[in-house]
Amino acid sequence: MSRLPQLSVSAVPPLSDCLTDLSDLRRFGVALARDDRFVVDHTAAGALVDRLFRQASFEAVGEGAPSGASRAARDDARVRAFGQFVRLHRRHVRRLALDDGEQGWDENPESARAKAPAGGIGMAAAVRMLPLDLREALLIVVLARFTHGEAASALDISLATLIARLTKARERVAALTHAPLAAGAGPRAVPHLRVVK
Amino acid sequence: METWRVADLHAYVDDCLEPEQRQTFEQRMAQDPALARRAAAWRAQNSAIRAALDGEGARAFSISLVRHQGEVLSQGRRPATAGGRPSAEQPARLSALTVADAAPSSAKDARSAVRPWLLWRLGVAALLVGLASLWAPASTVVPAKALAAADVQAFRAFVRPGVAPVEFSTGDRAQSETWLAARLMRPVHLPATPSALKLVGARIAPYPGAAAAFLLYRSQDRPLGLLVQSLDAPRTTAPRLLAADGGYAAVWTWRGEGFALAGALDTTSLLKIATDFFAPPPPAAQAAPTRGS
Repeated sequence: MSRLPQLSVSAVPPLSDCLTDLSDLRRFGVALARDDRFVVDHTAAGALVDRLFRQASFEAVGEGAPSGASRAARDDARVRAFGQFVRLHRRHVRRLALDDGEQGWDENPESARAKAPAGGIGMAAAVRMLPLDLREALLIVVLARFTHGEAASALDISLATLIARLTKARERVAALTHAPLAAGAGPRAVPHLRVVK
Repeated sequence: METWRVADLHAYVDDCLEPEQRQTFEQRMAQDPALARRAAAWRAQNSAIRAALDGEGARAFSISLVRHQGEVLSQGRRPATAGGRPSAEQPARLSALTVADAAPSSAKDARSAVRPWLLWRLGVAALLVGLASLWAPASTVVPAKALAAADVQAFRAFVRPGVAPVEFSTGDRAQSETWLAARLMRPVHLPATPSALKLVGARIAPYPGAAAAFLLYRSQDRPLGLLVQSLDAPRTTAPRLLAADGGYAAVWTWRGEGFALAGALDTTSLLKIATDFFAPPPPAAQAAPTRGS
């Protein structure tokens, strides 16, 4: 592939060598990639993740991945690997969305909610119905168990943005699954602004 | 709720607080029941997401493997890595996913190059499906067996002679679903109760990583326990009997849930009742309702 850097893989160990457990990234990737829109089953999600995964490893070679001697270096490599995967996946989804004649990948939350059946949907299906940015934030924190600082760094967003996305994601998942929420935990029943005469 | 407080709440439910910060936040929750309820709801949601998306669910049942590999038979081109394809609903998007990514400028060449290999690939795919059908039942090890083991253990722990070990006593399926959903913080879909059974009630049961629903039924005064856990797996074609933890359980999946049925019955009767749960016979006098309604 012409867009990949022409580097010797043997010069610097690939990123996979710096990670103690690649299954975390793969599990996160499969959950993130499967959106019931472009990728509609587990096997296709796995195939896509494997492809993006190889690209992420190659690109990491160019950035001089550390040898993984210290825990900090391994944590840093982990954040970087997830970050690379997220960027590659965003690029992939954006391209598919544009090919599909859309301007972006985010879908209207109201239409997403309207698609949910009256009795609520399963948790996995609810997560898959989230827009990509919310799904990324929720899955990297909940499934990959990143700290908020690590998650913000991997997603290349501020901590405040991460918190805002987590809030939206959690409330939307609760709404889609029709899970009972504590008082005041759900989305606002009334709009923030009212017309005042 | 102030912004800093929302951030603290997220940090608390995601285990990102230092011990002293955590203690301070727990003290604050003790004074604010609404905050405590919200934290509990988000924690339960985290557990449910992990349980549903742990990545093993879809590989737990042999039908998933057989189905996906069977789909390869009707496909001309598949992703370069081992795996399958998106389902037949979106064939155009599949080609965008695979061809555009691999070589956007030479997609047509790639398709034409594939054709000479098509027959050969179909033969290999057929062989793989045949091998998979032999190998897959033995491969259904981890989650399906974990489901069966959790059900057998729960049945053994809770079901005692002369005791109805339920936290919520009801014969109504809808009431059980509501009660369980309120405690598990996720929707719970229960199968229709077969006519030969009587629902006694529901309770919460332990399961690795997250709590599960446990339903108690009676069949001619013999107890049966049905464990229900959220599982991101495709629907199975029929219940299967698994030996686990010194007992037997019939396991199957449906509507994003994994089910395991154990009881003081012989394996043939157990499997028959599980089949009745899975595909209840339509009532003769009226039109067949949709399952789960």
